[in-house]
Amino acid sequence: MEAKVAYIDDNIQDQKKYKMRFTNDARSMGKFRLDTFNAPKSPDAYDRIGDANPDLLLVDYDLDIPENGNVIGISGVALSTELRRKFPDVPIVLFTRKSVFGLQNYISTREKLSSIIDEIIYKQEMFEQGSSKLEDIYRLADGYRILKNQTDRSWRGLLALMGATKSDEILMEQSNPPFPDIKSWVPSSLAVWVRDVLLRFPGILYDAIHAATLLGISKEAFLSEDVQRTFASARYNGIFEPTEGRWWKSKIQNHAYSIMSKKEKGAPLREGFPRAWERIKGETIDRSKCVFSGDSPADWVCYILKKPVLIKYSLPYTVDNRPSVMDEARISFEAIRTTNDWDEKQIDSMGRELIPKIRKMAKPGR
Amino acid sequence: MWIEEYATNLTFLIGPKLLGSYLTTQTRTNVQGKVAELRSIASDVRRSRKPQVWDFSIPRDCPIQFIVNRNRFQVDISGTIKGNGDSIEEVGSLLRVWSLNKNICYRAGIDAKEVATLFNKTKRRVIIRFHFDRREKKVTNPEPIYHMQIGGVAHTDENCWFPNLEVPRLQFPPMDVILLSELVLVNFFHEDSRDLREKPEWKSLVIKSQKTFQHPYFDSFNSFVKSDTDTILGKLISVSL
Repeated sequence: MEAKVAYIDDNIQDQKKYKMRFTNDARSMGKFRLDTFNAPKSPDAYDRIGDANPDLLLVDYDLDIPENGNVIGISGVALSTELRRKFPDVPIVLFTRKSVFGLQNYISTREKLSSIIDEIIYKQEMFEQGSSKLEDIYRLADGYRILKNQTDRSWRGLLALMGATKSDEILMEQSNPPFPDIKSWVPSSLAVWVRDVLLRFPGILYDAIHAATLLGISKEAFLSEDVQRTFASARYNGIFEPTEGRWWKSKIQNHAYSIMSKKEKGAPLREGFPRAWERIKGETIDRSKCVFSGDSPADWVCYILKKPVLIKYSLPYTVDNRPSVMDEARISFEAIRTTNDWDEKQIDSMGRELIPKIRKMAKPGR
Repeated sequence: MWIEEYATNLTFLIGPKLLGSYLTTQTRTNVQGKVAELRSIASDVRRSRKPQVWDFSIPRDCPIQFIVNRNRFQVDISGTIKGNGDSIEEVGSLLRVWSLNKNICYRAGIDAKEVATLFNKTKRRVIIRFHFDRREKKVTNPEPIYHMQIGGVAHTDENCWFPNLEVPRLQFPPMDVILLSELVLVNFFHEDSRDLREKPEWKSLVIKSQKTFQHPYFDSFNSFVKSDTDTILGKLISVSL
């Protein structure tokens, strides 16, 4: 189904450029229909956007460039606030040049504006070779469209829409949903919660590396055709499904236990599942290896390196405000020793005391 | 300053990243109040020009209470520390094992009916209690300097399964509530707590308590082991206070 995009930009050249790209790029052809608008300056202008009945609002970030040349983009944000108020059922994507913010600014701006905008996308990356951004915004528009058309706007309706099981329901209730006691939800606040909590933090839904580590196997082994076939029904295919995939932790566990013998079930899943797989398939499966020691199976994922790690070679890393039911973010000793991409302030005082020892310690088993 | 550091350690202990999910909700509030008391002691000790005697307790009636485990046992721990200035004089603790299983709490044909009546009111009963104490100055009995005693003086509300027992007192290293927490996890939540017990921050916390409370004990113990002049127990009961 074609997604109608309202692209709001005061730069006429950019309007023409992206209109052409959305029309001609093979990945967007047939998926999007782009209408361009100048930044609305009157109530009529908002009405014109509403008349286009958009499925997604693509808003230029730096609509105003102040005279001193410092891009502050306030108009794009202010406009998005107004757009959210007027069109609460339509996703808003801030569209910007990469030079406007660095990575840290990107993350903090995205967090700060999470109730106003759904995504920030760099103009340069939208049509890059191999970029999934077009698919991402299509899924965003599609998710909102499903939510908008959902007649049963209750908690039960949502669980059915997402394909959650009874055990997931309890965890979801503890994940700070934006509607704890009310009987209905509005699409924009629900979308923020689903995308920024349930799909973002591992705990209820897992990406490939977390799912693989849960099973004690490598990410490559998890993504192999054979394993994917086994866990096909554990795959999340509800609203806002990310292009790289998510899997229900509870369903992975259930499937894994269903093929395990009584003895294999006696061991932790990460040890029992690979044994069961090898017994049934008659071939070895690649285990998850700790990025620091090389030992198998690892039992956690390093937040910085996105690689498996043994929990004993990691420290808690308080980098976001994830609900306590989600898996704790931890940084591996390897990341502490080999990268500068982490912030010591995000490690608590107990962990900070250990950093000098971690830097000096000999690598085990190597 | 040791007292302040210990207050921080207790805060970590009961926090969501360590013991939090193993404790009842009331425990967190109780212990937070106690940590505030400890910080206030630290502040008094810091201000005082002369070493000041203090004592700190997590009392038996406001303990660190663990959630019910898979076998329907519920453990709670309490403890005291006495100090002078920034040094520790004495540490003691109590571990109680409650059962919520009626078949364990009331043995038909063996227990009196009053036991069943009380159990029906409280729905739980202390099955066993362990004291980890330092010998008191006034005691003349032959007690190892630090010892563990099964039983002790039970309280009415415990409906204790075990009779009051004074002896034996078994030689045992000093235990504070942090060291006892590890003992509880290992024994009552062995599988569930495996990941937690592997965490460096958990180990670091326990090692700090080991260093404070147990290193001096084991140093002395080691010298007693090497001694040919007396038995270990003979030495432990004759250490003067």
